[in-house]
Amino acid sequence: MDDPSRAPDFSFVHAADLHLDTPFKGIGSTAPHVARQLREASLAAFDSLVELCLERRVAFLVVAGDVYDGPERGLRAQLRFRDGLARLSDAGISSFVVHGNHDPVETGWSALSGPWPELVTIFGTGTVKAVPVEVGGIPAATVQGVSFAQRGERQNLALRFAHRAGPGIQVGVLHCNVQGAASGYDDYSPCSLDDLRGIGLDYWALGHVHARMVLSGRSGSDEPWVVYPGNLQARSPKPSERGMKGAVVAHVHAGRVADLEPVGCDVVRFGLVEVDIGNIADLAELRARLVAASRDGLASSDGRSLVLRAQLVGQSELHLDLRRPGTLEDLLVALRGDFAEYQPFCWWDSIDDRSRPTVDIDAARAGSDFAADLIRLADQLGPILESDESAVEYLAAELSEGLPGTLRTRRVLEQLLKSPNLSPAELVDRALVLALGALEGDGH
Amino acid sequence: MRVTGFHIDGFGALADLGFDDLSPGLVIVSGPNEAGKSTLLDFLTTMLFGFPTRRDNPRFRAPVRGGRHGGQLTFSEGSRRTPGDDRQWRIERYAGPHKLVSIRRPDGASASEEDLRRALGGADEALFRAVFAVDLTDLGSAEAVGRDDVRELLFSASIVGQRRSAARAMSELQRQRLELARLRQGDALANRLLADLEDVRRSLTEASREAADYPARHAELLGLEAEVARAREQAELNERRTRDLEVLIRLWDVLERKRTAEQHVAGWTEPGPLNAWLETQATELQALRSACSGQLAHLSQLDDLSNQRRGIEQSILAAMGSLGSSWDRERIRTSGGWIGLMDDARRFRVSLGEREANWRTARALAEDADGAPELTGLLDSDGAGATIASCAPEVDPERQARLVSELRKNLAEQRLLMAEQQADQRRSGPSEGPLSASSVFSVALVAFAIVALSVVAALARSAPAVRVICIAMAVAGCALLAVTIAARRRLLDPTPAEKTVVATVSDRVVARVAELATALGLPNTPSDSDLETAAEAIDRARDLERSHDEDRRRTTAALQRRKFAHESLTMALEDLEAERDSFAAWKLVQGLGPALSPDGVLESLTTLQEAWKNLGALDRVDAKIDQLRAEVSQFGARLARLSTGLRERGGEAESLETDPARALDELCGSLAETVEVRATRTSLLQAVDEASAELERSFGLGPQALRLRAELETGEVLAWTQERAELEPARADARSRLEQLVRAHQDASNELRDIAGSARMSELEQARLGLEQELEEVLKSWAVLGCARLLLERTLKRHEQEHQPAVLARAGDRFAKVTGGRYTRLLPSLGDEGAREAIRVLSTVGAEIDASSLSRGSVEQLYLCLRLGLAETFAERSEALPLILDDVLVNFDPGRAVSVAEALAETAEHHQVLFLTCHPHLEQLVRTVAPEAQVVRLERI
Repeated sequence: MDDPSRAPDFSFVHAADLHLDTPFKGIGSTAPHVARQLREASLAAFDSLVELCLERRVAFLVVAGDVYDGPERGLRAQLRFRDGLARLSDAGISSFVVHGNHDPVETGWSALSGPWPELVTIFGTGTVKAVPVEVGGIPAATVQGVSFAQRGERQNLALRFAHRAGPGIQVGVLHCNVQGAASGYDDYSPCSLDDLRGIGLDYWALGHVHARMVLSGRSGSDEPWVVYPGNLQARSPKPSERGMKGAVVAHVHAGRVADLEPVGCDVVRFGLVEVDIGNIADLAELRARLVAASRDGLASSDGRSLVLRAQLVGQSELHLDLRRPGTLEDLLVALRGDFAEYQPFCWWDSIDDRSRPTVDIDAARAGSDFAADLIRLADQLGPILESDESAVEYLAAELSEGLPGTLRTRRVLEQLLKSPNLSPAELVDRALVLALGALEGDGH
Repeated sequence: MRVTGFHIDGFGALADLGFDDLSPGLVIVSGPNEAGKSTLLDFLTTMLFGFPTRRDNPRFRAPVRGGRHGGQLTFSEGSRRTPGDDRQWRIERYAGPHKLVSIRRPDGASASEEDLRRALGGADEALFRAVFAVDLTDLGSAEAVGRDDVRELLFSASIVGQRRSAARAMSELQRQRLELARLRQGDALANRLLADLEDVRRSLTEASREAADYPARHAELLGLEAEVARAREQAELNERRTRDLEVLIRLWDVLERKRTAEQHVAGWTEPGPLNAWLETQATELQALRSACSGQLAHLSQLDDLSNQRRGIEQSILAAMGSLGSSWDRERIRTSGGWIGLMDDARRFRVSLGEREANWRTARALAEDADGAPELTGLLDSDGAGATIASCAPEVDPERQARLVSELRKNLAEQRLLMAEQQADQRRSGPSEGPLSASSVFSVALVAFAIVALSVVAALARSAPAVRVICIAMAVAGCALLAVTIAARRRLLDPTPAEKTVVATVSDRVVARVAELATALGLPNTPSDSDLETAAEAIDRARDLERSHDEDRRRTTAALQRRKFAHESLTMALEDLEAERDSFAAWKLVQGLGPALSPDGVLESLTTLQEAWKNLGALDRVDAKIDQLRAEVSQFGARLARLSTGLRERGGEAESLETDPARALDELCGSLAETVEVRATRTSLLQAVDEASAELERSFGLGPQALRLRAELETGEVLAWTQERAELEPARADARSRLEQLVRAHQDASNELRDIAGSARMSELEQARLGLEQELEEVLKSWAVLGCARLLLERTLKRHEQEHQPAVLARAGDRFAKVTGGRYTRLLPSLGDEGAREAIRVLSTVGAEIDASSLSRGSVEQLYLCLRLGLAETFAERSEALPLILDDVLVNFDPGRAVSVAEALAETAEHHQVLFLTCHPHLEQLVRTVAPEAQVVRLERI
C-alpha cells in the first residue's frame, strides 16, 4: 500500500481445523441428549462462525485447512459448509479456503457437483494462487493460499508463497506445522517461523495446531503475524482441546493488522477437574467436590456445555474405596445424574483415578519384605520398558494373554503401550499402586 | 504357640475327653487302634481353624458317642513355657443348630477369627494341614506343600507390617481381568465392546457406501427431473389437444345455435301500427280487461242501492209521522240522547207500577180490616171508633172453689173422727176396725218382704240404678214397717186422753163444716152429691169467665189491624202521587206529551230510535251510490279513451261500446300474439349473444384461438370425436407415466435429502469412537491389572527362590542325619515349574536322585524333614506352630525311626510336637530318645 492513510479499515476472520461433522474423540458412550448435541457441535460452531462474519460485516473469511475430518468428508458437513459460505457470499463476504492433511484435495470425496458460490475461493494444490480483495471498491488485501494434495504433505509449502506487488495487506493461508511451535502434531508441510517471516506477508493464517497460538506479531509492530487460531470446536479431552475454541478476528487499520480478537465459536467445551483426595474423607465429599467443580465450570463457560474429566490424585484411605470394583462407575453415574437436567449440559466423561494408597512406598522400598521386593521389581521394570522397545513388545505380548484373538492379532496392547495414552512408566506405576493396594486391601 | 489343653464334648468317636497342661515340648499321645488319634488331629485342627463348611467333609466328624459337637482348646503364645504363661487363648467351637464360636484373648477379651489367624502367624488351615498336621497319607507327598497359597505363606508371609496374601491379591486381580476380557466369546466387557464395535463398523461401512452414492444418486435425480419434465410436456400436449377437441365438439353446438338464432332474427318483421299502439296500451288494456267484470257488478249494485234507499226513506217518513210534527229530520239526527231517555222511561214505568201496586194492596188491606167480624157492630157509622162491652160474673168462682175444698177436708176429718170414736167403742167390745191386727200384720209382712228383697237385690250384682231403686224400696219398706208398728201400737194401746182430744176436735170440725156449707148455700151437713153439684157450678162459672176474656182480646186485635191498614193506605197513596208528579215533570222537560204513560213514552222513543238509525243508513247508502257512480264514470271514460284511440288507428271501436268485455278480450288476444313474437326475438338475440360470448371465452385470444376458430369453422365434428377417442389411451399412458416419474422423483429426492441431512454417519462415527475409547480404557485397565499381577507373581517367585534354599538346606541337613549320611543335600528342581514335586536328593557319591525314585520310607522321611524345615522357616518369619504327627514313624526301619525321633525331639525344642501313635514300640522308642516327653494316653473307644 503506497499510502496507508487511504487504505480502508476492515476486519477479517481467520479460522482453521473445522473438522466438520466429525465425532468427538477420547470420550466414551454418552447419554442420548449429550450425544445429539456433541454430534451437532462442530456444525453449530461453523454456523456460529458464519454468524460472526455476518454480524461483524467482515471483509473476508479465511479457513486454513482441515475443513473436514477425513477424505470421506461427511455429506452433511459438505452441504453445511457450502450453504454457510453461500450465505457469506450472498452478504458480499468473500471466503478463502485451503485443504489440509485431513481433507487433502486429491484424495477427497466431494458430494458437491456444482460450482461454489461466487465469492468463494477454494485454493488448489501445487502453486500458490493470489486473489485480491476490495473493500468498498478499494483494493484492501491480497489473499494467497495453497491446499494439500495428499494427506502426507511433507514439502514446505510456505516457501511457495511470495510477496505480491499490490495494494492492501498480504495474507497467506496455509495448513502447516511450524516446527517447534507445538508438540504432538504430525509434521505436515513443515516450515519454520523464520521461513514464514522471511516471505514478506503481513499475516499468516495458519491451521493444523489445535491450540490458539500467536507465533509472531503484536500490536503496533511491523513484524508479520503468524497465527494459529486453534480449532473451531474442541474434539477431545486432550489438553490442547480444553478451554475456549473458535476463530480470530483480525482488525486491519491503516493498512496493517492492528490487533487480534479471539472469539469463541464453540458450543461444547472440555475441562479437566483434578482433585487431590488427600483431604477428602469419603466418597460423598469427593462427589460434592466434583459437583462444585461442575457448577464452577458451567458458570464460567459462557453458556457452553461442558464435557468434564475428573482426575483423582493424592494419597488417602479413600483410595481403597475407589479401588473397589464398581465404585468409580457408580460415582460417574451419580455425577451424570446430578446434571442430567442441565442445559447447557455438563457431562462427566470419566474419572481417572491416579490416587495412591496410604502406603509409604519409599519407606516400604527400604524394607526387606515382600512389598519391598515388589517395589524394587517395579523400579527395575520401569526403566527397562522405557529404554527397550522389545521389552515393551514382550510385556505387551505377555499381558495380551487371555485377550480375545482379535485384540491379540492386532497387537492392540503393544500399540497402546507405545502410544502416549499409556506409557510404560505410567503402566508400571499404576500397576505397582494397584498391586500394593491389592495386598493392602486383602487384610480388610 | 503351643496347645496347653483341650476338651472334646463330642467329635467323631471321641466324647467328653480332655487334657490339661500339655507339655510345650514333645507330647506322646498314645493309644491303640481305633482310640481316636486321627479324630484328635482333626479336632485340634478344627478348633484352630473352624469346622468344614460342608457336613459331608470327612473332617466334619459329627459325634457318634453323644456330646455336643465341638469342644474347647487353649493355647499359649510362645512355644516354650515361660513365667506367666498361664495367659492363654481360649477357643470354643461348636457346630450344629446351636453353633457357637468363642475366641478369647489371654486377657479375656473377645477376639475375631482374623485375630486368631494373626496369633497363628497368618497360617490358614491349608498351610497347617500341609506342614504342621501330618498323617501317613499326607506324608508320602509334598503336593499340599506345593500349593501357591501354602508356598506364599511359607516364603513370603509378611509385607508392609501385616501379613497379607499376595496369592489372593493375584487371584483378585485375575478375577478383575476376567471381568474385563475373556479369551473367547464371553460376556466380559471387552468382548461386548468388540462385538458392538464390529456392528458399528459394519453399519458405518454401509452408511459410508450410501453416502458415497450421493453424487450418483444426485445425478439420477437430475435425470429423473428431466424425464419428469419430458413426460409432463407430453402429458400436457395430450391434455391440451383433448381439451381443444372437447371445446371444438362442445362449441360446434354453440356455433350452430348461434347461426340458427341469427337466421331467425334476420327473418323478423315488425308489427303493424295498431299492434304497435296496442303494445303501448298493453297495461291499460289489461287493466280495463280486468276491471270490466267489476264494472258490471257496480251497475248492478247501484240498482240495489237505489231500491234500498227508497225503503229507508219510507220508514223515516212513517216514524216522523208517529213522532209528531215537532220532530223533523234534523231533530231526529241530533237526538242522540234517546238511549238515556229510554232508560229513564223504563225506570218511571217500573217505579209507577210498583207504587200503584202498593197503593192497591194497602187499599185492600184497609177494606179487609174494616170488614173484620170482631168489629161488627162495634164500629161507628163512619167506622171511626169502637167500644168493648163489660161482662164481669156475679160470684167469684175461685173463692167458691176454695170453700168447697176446705169443706171437703173438714168433712173428711169429721168422718175420720167419727170412725175413731166408733173404733174405740168397738175395742171396748169386739169389733173390727178399719185397721185390724191382721191387716197391720199383713202390711208389716209385706213391708218386711219388700225390705228383704230390696237388700238382696242391692247386694246382688246389679246396675247402680237398680241398686238405688232397691235401696229406696228398702227405705220405703222400713217406713211402712215403722208406720205399721205404730199403728199396731195405737191399735193395741188407745188411751183416755186420746179419746178426749178426739172428741174436742170432732166438735170443731162439725162446726166448721156447717159454716162452710152455709157459705156455699149447702146444707150444714152436705153430702157428697151436694159437694159435687157445688163443684160443677163453680166449673161452669170458670168457663164463662174464660169465654169473655177471649172475645175482648180478639176485638182489640182487630181494631189495631184496622188502624195500621188505614195508615198504610194513606202513605201508599201519597207515594204514588209524588211519583206521578215526578214523571209528569220529566215528560214536560223532555218535550213528551203530558198524557203519555211510561209505555207510551217508550213506544215513541223506539220509533225515534228506528228513525235515527234509518237516517244513518240512508247517508251510507247515498255515499256508496256516489262512489259507485264515480267508478262507473271513470271506467267509462277510460273505455272512451281506448275507443277513441282505436278509432284514430282504424280499429273497430263500436264493439267497445256495445260489448266491452268481448271487445277487450279480443284486443288482449291480439296484444298477446305481438308480445310472444317480440319475446321470441329477444330470446334469439340473447342466444346469439351468449353463443358469441362462450365462443370468445372458450377460444380466448392469440394464435391458438384463431387456429381453433378456424378449425371450428370447418365443422369436422365426427373427425374431432374420433380423434378424441383415439387420443384417450395415449393420454392415460402419459398421465400414468408422469405420475410414476413424479413419484420416483419424489422418492429419490426424499432419499437424497435424507442422506444429505442424515446424522447417521456422524452418530456411527461417534459411536465407533466412543466404543474404541471405552475399549482402550478397558485395555488400559487390563494392562494395569495384568502388570500388577505380573509384578506380584514375579515378586512372589523371586521371594520364594530367595528363601527356598534355606529351607532345602535345613531339610537336607536333617535328611542327611536321618539317612545316616546316605544323602547329603536336597536340590531344587531344574525348571521353574514342577519344583514343588521334583525335589532331588544328592547322594554321598554325588548322584542327583529324583525324590520319586526313593523308597517309600525314604520319601516319607524326606518330606517329613522338608516339613520340619518349612515349619522352622515359617517360625522364623512368623510363628512357631505346634506339629501334630500321626504315626509318621510306622514305615521307618528302626534305625531311621530313632533318627527321626531324635529329629522330632530336636524340633520339639522350638515347637510343640504332638506325636500320636498306636504302636507301643514307637512310644517306647520316642520316650527313649526323649525321656522328658509327656505321655498322654487315649483309651480304646
